Amino acid sequence: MTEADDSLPETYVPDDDEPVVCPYCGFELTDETQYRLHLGLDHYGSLTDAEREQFKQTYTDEEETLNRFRIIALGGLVALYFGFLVVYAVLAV
Amino acid sequence: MDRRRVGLRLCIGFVASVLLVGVASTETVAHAAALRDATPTTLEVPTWLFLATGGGAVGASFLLASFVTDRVFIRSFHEWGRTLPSPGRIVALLGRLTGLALLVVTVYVGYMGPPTGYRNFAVVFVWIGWWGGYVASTYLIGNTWPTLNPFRTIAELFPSLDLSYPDRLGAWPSVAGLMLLIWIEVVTPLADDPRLLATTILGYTAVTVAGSVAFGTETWFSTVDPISRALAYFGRFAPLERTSDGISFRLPGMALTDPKLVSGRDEVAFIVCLLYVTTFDGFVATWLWESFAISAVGLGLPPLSVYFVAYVTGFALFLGAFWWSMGVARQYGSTYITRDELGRRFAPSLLAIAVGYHLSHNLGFFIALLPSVVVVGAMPLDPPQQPPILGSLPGWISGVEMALVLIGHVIAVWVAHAAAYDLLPGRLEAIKSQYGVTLVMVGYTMISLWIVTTPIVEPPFIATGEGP
Repeated sequence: MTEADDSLPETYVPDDDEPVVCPYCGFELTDETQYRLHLGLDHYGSLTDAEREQFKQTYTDEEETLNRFRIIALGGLVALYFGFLVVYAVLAV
Repeated sequence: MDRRRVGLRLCIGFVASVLLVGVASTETVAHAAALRDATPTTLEVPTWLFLATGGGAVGASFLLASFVTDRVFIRSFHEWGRTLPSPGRIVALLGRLTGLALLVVTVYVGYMGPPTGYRNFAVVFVWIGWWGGYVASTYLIGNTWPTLNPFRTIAELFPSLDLSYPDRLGAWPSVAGLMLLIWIEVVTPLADDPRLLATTILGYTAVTVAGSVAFGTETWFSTVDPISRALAYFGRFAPLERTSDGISFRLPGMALTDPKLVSGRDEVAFIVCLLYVTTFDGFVATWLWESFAISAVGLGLPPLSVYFVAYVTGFALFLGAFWWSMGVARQYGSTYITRDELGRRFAPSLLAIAVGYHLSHNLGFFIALLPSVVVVGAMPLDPPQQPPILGSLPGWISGVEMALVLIGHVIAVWVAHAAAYDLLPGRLEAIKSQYGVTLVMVGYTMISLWIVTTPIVEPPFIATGEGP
């Protein structure tokens, strides 16, 4: 909080990790995907066309994994709902 | 991708916590209907199933929130608001005088009024009017305590030495102060004995005056004073808040994502403490604690030390659970952001839970005893032998209480969701980062639902006057 830029969350990188560092704000990210998303979300105005294209590509790819997660989450909700329905039908009398 | 491993771990964690609560509650299955004032038409639901349903509802709200992945949409909830003109100085002055007058009357009647708790205005006003009603207004409407606070009004009359407050202490003294206040409340008959209550209030006044003479009123009440700090956090939940431009209006709970709300580990500990002390207060009045305390004292341990060790250990467990969930957030959120920073951003979500828990804990009690406050307040020195109460509240009130606990949790899940989206660049990572905190919330829901619905017993060893 006492750092010059207080909008940047405090980070800690384990010794044996190699972070990807943002050239605009110095924020450390764990991998290339997070790095591209960070660039697009926080520094979109200063990016080159190629970098913007990369961001859009990563963002679209993310959409695919998100959809997979949504299907699992939906499955979880259905399981939760019917699980409770069955348990209540059996036990709540 | 280690998604399968995550899923497996979560399943194991969830099943284990359900089993744990299930095992712990086997004895209560006998009086299973759970709702305290169960009507004859209530379904007979085993306690474990009732608790699992509460936990399931919180888990489901996490899954539902995970469908909302549009950053702009999430932020829009939190940024929506308007500004109203601020009240004038006369209103503020009236507020101060009211607060001061109520304090004077409370202390005077505490000493001079009838010694029976439920007939004495001091006890009735502090526990029902102030703690049950006024505190609820700080999160349902807005925090008016900085104006009304009679201790502050008194402290401002004194000159200040303006010593510099040691920064490294931060909010820790307020954590200790809150622990101490609730400790006194639990182990002494503070809720029954008006003389003791009046003495405690005088002691509290002396401490706050001394503190604000030493460090200045502003520093003392914004940093050290536990009551002011607790109500200030509750006020951040409220729809109305006083700002430099006037009174701002927003959706309830939506200011909890403010990145500057919590500034360090000390303030995270205070929020966890706020949640913990209400839980402990309820927990000592359950059969589980009763049988544990009786067997521990049976082994020859002094009763007060059993209470104290349990009190501190419980707090450590709550802190540990939250700290663990931040480790999970760091790992599954695929980020280098420190646990401390994650804790600062996720901790405010716990305030929504504390709010839900306080309201559900006090709603029925407040409604039932409000007539007492009015009648005893009208003739504080000569109250009727049996002040009126609303004897039988309708059964649905306890349903509303359960719903409030759950609503608090659902808002908490949403606040954590929004905080994660604010911090992490990846949307999937933002969802995954909430695994730990969601699990902690599911566990906490089950614990608090169990405490709220378990029949209240007298805490052993302290109510009979064996306490200090």
